[in-house]
Amino acid sequence: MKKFYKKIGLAALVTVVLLLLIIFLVPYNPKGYIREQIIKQSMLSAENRKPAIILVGGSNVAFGYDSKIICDSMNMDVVNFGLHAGFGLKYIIDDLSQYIKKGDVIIISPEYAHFFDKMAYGEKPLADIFYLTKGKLNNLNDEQLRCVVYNTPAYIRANIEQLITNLLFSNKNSIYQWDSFNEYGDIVAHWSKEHTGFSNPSSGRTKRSSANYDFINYFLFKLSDMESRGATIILYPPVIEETGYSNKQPDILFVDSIMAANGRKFICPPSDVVMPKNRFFDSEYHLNRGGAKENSLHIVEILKKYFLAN
Amino acid sequence: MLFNSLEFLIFLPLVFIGYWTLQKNLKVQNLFICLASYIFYGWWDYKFLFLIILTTFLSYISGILIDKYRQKGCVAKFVNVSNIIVNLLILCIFKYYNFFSQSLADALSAFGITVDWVTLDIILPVGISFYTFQALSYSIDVYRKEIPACKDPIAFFAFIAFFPQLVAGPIERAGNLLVQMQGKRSFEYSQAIDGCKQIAWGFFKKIVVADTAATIVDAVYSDIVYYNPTALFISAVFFSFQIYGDFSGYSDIAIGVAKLFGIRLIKNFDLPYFSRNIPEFWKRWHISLNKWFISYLYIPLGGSRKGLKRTFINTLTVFLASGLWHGANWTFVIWGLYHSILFIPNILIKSKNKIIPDATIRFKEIGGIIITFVLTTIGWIIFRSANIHEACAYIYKLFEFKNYALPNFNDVQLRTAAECIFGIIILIAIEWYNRNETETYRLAGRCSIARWIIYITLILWSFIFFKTNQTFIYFQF
Repeated sequence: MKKFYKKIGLAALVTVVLLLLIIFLVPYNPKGYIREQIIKQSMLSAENRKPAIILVGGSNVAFGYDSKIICDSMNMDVVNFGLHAGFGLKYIIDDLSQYIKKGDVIIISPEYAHFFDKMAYGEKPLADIFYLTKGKLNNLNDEQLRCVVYNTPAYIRANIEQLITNLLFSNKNSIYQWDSFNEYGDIVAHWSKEHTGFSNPSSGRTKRSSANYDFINYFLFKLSDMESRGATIILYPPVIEETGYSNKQPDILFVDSIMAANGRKFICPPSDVVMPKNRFFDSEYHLNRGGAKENSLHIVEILKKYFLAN
Repeated sequence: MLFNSLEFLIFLPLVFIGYWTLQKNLKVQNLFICLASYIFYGWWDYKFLFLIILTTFLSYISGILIDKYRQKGCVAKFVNVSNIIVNLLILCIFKYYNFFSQSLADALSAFGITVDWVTLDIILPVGISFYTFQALSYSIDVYRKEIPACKDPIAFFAFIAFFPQLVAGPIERAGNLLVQMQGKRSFEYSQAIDGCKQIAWGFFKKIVVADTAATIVDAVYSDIVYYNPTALFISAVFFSFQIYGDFSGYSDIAIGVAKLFGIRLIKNFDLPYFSRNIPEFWKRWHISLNKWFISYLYIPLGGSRKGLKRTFINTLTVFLASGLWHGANWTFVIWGLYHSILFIPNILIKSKNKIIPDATIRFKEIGGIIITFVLTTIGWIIFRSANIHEACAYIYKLFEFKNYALPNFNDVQLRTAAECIFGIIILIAIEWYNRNETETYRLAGRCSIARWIIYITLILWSFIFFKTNQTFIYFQF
């Protein structure tokens, strides 16, 4: 039995050592998409930053706007803080809340999935940002830590794949890189490209997912907290493609109603931001240039009405 | 609890240490493994522990009563039949109630009769098909006097609940597993190391091959209209390896884990994709289930002893039952029917004219191997599809030869497909190398450094490819 324990122990030790070596020797892609988060954080943490319109969400927000239109129309600085829904809305909101200032207008467009199951606690991108910041993430709860642990293999795998891809295809440019963004934080690298097309899950309304009430309560608390610090919070439904909207009906209706019931009604009905497939680039949430422009004009119209009323 | 989870990584060493610490007292050791197994099972949903305990209790009591009233043949028969009926009823309610009631409603509506059936919101308890069959086989074997009735309740409960094979097989016979539970086990170093190797190999098949293939397969099946025939073709082949890697991987892990506890489970897969014809495929695929159906359905119906017509019917019955066992959907039934049609030529050919492949698989038999693989892959399309309509659409699209081009996968999918193909090549290469071995794969000869490198590579590869929330396909059965 001792011989067995020794052998298994040795195998485990060798495996762990090799894994740690791989984590350190094969770091996150130098051009990786997630690196943009550091830049967005620096935009918000700048010392003499003026109050700004901050667009918050996942990649739906990164792809969703032409912030120059908003900036020019509203005469306010704009920071597109959207990057990846896979961070989980809890991380996104926690990260944002440390940078807000009095006078900021925060427009939150979360993908609906965040309010169900454990999506709010992140997926692989949370592990990416965890390792990128060398573990310096504040306020991670158990679920988020579990997410980091469980996604460590995926993090390692992605780094190895990217290393091999970079070696084999050194000239290959992807829009999902850190230099795909403009000065506002919008993704613009795809603006000159044709939409790639994407598959939609087969149509038909799906059964409603399991709501995450713990997170919903936390989210509402954080919104109130940011408001108490002088920010204006606006909940704007995420722009979504027609079939996606139809498929997600039960979830969308739930989120709409629960936010309204808690005094956080979407500033316009979710159905107002449904667009046809030709407005999207490569997924049901990622707008192309035309879609981003249309969405930006729409939000400007809404903001003007909102500020007029308030 | 999943094998590929953090919880299991903690659970297994603790149970292993506790099990061998209690080695001196067999009853306590069996009680320990039984309780550990219930914790393993209850991790999904503790409410269903009641069901497995009930099934176990009924079968245990049946064995005792059959033995006690053996002289009164009709009483013993009554007990046996009652046990079968009650357990199958439990299985049918949980697994097939909604399917049959909805199917009947659909059939009636075709005649213009609308009914408002009550379909129940029933959750299928994990592993119910497996442990029910295992429990039934015990009472039937006792009735047939193939094994004595077990008078040790702890050993019996441990036999049914034994966690490595509880939720997805192999479906063990009492003559193998119960006997081992009743006997003393001793720790054997070589068996334990062999078990660890088999676990590593099982994880490779599950994580690197099956889960990687699943990414492509799930995407294609979610939107068959969008993907071109090439993508569908690749996806069909991938699913063949997904289900094989998933299920045989689970079996390897189960058998390997059992070896750590000094228990030998039966082989459940014997390189089925190297089969040279369909009958051989069914001797190599899900061996424990097929043996169960042969022993408890085919032979009692008369097998092949009552003429050609009866043999057809019996064969058809077994394949349909096997299809239905897999799930409450007509696709599984049609899949069973499909295989029965492929099997029929074997019945028609007279024994003296049958070409029975010998045990040694040769490269020159590659033609038969490929044809058998293609036929089973078509069957898997039916198996995987959500409904018959989808299966037909999928197969029909495969024959749109003029639309074959490069697969319309995105960059990520292309990369995943390449990784999967690489994993499949490694799998086939290793299995081909070991095709005529009877025991666990020898991944490296006698060179211990080579063995270490290969196994550590397998473990690292499996770790790096690990994905969250990936269950095993056969858990849904």
